[in-house]
Amino acid sequence: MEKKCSQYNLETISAFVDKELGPKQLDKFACHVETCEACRLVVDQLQGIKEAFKSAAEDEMKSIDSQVFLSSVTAKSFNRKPAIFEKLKEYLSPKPILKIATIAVILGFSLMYFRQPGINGIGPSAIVNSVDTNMSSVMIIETIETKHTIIWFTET
Amino acid sequence: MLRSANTITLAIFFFTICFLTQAAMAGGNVNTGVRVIHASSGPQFIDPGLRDIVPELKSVFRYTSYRLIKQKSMNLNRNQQGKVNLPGNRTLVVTPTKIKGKRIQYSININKAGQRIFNTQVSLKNNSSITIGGPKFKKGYLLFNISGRK
Repeated sequence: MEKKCSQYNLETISAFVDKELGPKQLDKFACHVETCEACRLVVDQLQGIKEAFKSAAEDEMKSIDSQVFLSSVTAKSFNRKPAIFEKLKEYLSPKPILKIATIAVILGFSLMYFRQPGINGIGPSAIVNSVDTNMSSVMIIETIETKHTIIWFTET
Repeated sequence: MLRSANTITLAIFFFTICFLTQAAMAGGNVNTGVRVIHASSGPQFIDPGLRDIVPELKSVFRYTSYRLIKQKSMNLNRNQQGKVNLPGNRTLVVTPTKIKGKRIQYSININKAGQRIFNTQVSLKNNSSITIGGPKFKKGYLLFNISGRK
């Protein structure tokens, strides 16, 4: 049966192998591992796995042609359509009622955009922006029923 | 996928139509009408050509006679002056200066003996009119009804 260390767990040993322990803990564990057979065994196993992964990754990297990889990534980036359009299309395509609603909303906003305030409202027939005269008095009148605008000036 | 693209294209088409219509309307001519009215307290008379406006004037003024003494219709471009000769050596000059939404901005001048005596800037509702009055004329007063249609 395999021996098990009562002082250090697998997490600490893994941190030691990955050189992630603090200086104080590192010294303490390094001393311990010299005398603890169980820990040394685990350290050897973890280092073996680490080395195996490292060499496998290096082999894989050597087999990749960097130019081919770069052009492939670039092509994918350019061919990718904007996510917002993709989502919009997904949203619209299966539900015809939503299409109509979308058109209605867009048309509504268009009409709101082009509509000016006071067009259909009961505003005065004319808005007097300015009056410039040498006359003694000027009156601006608005009729009650149709809001017809009248400017009356007294000629001296 | 293709149907969605068509929907978006249709919406853009409608928006473009709205925009182009607006742009076309903004750049068009303005049909400007001027009616010169003589209002007095003489025998009751309403000119047939003033039937649309007299009830409005009667709601404000106490005159009993409204006579149309001159009428002129002009098709004016933006910033183009339209002149109307008035009684008493006066001239009325109307100039559409801007079209904003459904209102036409006018500069209205009244000149007397070559001198400007009155100027106003108004934003007239499309297919509507404004009345300017005040100058004395033949025991009554002159009123100028200015209408605009784009």
